[in-house]
Amino acid sequence: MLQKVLQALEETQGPVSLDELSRQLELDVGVLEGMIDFWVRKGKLKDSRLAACAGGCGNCNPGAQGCTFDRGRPRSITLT
Amino acid sequence: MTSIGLTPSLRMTYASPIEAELTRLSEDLGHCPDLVARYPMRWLAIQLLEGDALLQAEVERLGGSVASEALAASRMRLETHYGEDLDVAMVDQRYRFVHDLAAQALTRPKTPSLTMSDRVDRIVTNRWLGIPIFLGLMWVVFKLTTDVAAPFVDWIDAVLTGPVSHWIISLLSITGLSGGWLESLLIDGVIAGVGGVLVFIPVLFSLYFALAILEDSGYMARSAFVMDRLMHRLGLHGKSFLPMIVGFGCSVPAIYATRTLENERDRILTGLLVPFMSCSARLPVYVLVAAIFFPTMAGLVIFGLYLTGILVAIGLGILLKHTLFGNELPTPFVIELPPYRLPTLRNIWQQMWERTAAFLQHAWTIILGTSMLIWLLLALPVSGEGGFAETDVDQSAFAAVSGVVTPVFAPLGFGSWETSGALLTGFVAKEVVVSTMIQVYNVPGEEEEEAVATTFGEDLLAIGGSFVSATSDALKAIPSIIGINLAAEEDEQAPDGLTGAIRQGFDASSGGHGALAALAFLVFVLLYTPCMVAVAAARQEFGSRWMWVSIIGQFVIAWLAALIVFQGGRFFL
Amino acid sequence: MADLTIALAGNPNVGKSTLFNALTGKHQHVGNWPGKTVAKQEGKLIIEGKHLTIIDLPGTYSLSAHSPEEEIARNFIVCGRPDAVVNVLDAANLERNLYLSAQILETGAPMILVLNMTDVATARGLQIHPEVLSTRLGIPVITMAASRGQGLSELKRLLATLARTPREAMVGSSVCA
Ligand SMILES: Nc1nc2c(ncn2[C@@H]2O[C@H](COP(=O)(O)OP(=O)(O)OP(=O)(O)O)[C@@H](O)[C@H]2O)c(=O)[nH]1
Ligand SMILES: [Mg+2]
Repeated sequence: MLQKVLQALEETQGPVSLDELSRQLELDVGVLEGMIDFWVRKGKLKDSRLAACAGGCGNCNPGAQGCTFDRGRPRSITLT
Repeated sequence: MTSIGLTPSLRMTYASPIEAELTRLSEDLGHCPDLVARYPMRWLAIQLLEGDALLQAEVERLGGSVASEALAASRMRLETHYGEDLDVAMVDQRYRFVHDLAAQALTRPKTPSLTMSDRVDRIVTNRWLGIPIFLGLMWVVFKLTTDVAAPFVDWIDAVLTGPVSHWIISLLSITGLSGGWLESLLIDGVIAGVGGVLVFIPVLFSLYFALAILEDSGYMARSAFVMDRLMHRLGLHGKSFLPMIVGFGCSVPAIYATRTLENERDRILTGLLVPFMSCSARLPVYVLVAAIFFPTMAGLVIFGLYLTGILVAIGLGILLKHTLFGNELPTPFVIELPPYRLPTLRNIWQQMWERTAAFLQHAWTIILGTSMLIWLLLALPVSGEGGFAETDVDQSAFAAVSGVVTPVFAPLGFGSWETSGALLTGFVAKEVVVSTMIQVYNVPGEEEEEAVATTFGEDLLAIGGSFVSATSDALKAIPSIIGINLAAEEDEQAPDGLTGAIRQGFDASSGGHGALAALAFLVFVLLYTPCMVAVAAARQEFGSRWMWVSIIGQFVIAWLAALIVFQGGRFFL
Repeated sequence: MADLTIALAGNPNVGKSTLFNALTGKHQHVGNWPGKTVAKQEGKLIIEGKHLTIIDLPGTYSLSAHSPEEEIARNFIVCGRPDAVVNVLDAANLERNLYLSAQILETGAPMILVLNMTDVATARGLQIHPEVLSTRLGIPVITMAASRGQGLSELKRLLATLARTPREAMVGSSVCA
């Protein structure tokens, strides 16, 4: 079941929404989220919410008025 | 019933190699009383095989080498079956167990009921309707930012050039410093420059208001999704539009946001395209110039500019993808479309405030600095008779410096030292274009008819009164967003000093095609380097080489686009 | 001295604190986003003269402790030796929630399943069969809509029965490091 998530992502064409993917895999969105979290921890997927600049907005933004604008960015998940 | 059993009778069974090791490991660990006292043995064994670092440390501490060796041996034996992926196998088996359990305990509806969000999404992310809806909403946003904000812009302008300037002058005269260069610095430098930008705070405030609503309601994620799907169909793979959405606010975080792209080439490509998304700092320039040259259709012009930015980014992206950047494999990605919800006032207010504050901070540092520098350069005579701070601006050092680059802009219709100077300072930040223009077109002489002496209290009353009427004007403007015009067309005021000066300036440099030149100017502002900070960000993220590619590329594209607008327009008109 | 210790455990935002407040009359922070409860909270419930200590735990998706809050929850479930773990589940998201239940099962802790948010599940057209879970797992399963007070009396009755049952001696009540 876990592998199916990675496979589906590899085969997909263009962006997919979480809902579309869950329908395609016949998994509850919640379950899919759990599996994605697992792969993110394993380092196979990358979650933009946890990526460098998204959450902490720490040292990646020297002298920018920017951090507050970054919050508008939707969350996305990619293969690594 | 008097007693109930809470101890589960079912426990999940793993695949037999794992079960064998679980039994063995829990037996081995069971020899250590410290562990037995603390943990359920089977559970401990499961967690250890799954690779729990915390528990492993505990086992090493309490169970010593015997325990850790038992664990290592178990792991070793399982490696032949599962390689590195023992944890994947175990978690997967747990998911299967749970899936079976849920399948028995739960009957799902045959046709899953559509939530409100699903229904809206059918329309909003529809293959054909998605883009028009996105454009329609953008249109509303720019009508909002221009029409509703306009009365407040006038209000702040009136307050700054009226009472505030008077107060400063009076204050100076009390301290006996009036009339000199200090007055000039404060009035022509700081008030004209920084004030000229502060005037546009209401515009930014309404833009941030609109952005906050779009983000908080969940629409922004959809727009990125729809646009990315379009880009994908156009052959631009990768989640490039996600950073670009950020670019509507500010290019700098958008450049950093490319970090989330996996592929180095996608990162650089997106980093090159992001600056074409019109950032919020450019908006004041559009509003200022459009209000002068296109007063009746400022919203349309601004919308057109934003659209142009998107189209240039997409077009250039396709071009680069087929040349420099080869055909990379697509980077598939999943995007979370949060359920739609009513934006909360608290969130909206917080975002508007934070973003406006970020902008204001900018005003006090960069804009104040450049305004004072430009005042200095404008005050320094290089020819003519005038002394310091009395010189004719045409004969100032600033005119001389700007004059050097003027020929570059001549074919574009805005080859005057004033516009050249504004564009030069615009490399620092786009707000500075506005402050510079106001400073250089600040026609001296025609002293405003000596204001009737007013008291401080009267001034305050007048400020309050004009705010109320600005608010009512703004409210009247709201229906016009959807095409109803309630407010009777105000009789155009005779162009005041600044408007007249800017109009004359553009007319003179373009051989009478002032409006066309102004449009070309706006297109240029849209497309050339956003600001120094963005340049620094690009260098940090992509290296000096790409930074230069970006600066020069943007300049060339901006120049060509402005040329097409001006020369093309002149050809047709 | 408490007669029984009952722990409320479950995924984030499933209504643990809502249930905790309903049982103990306390006012723990409740709201519609995950991660509100970050530390273990205690409350008292007296049923038929027996003193029960109710523990509200932070929400966690698994017992693999990926965050400090999850570690608090795990430590209490595994080493706190509660007399019962009341595992609160979001019935509208049953499958994901059952993942944690499967892990709690692995600890061998005495367990009660509470399927909360049944109102939401029904609205989504989901049909839940608590009796199936109960027979398969061999533990009591209660359906509930905590925010409406539904299912509370059933849980209380169950706890009362539990309090009447003589307890087997605990094998030393230890706490993990
Ligand atoms: N519709 C519905 N909502 C509920 C029910 N029970 C709780 N809620 C709501 O669900 C939300 C979360 O409840 P909490 O009690 O804060 O959840 P929690 O499990 O303590 O959350 P964390 O402490 O963050 O892990 C609140 O808005 C509750 O009002 C229920 O049975 N039905
Ligand atoms: Mg809680």
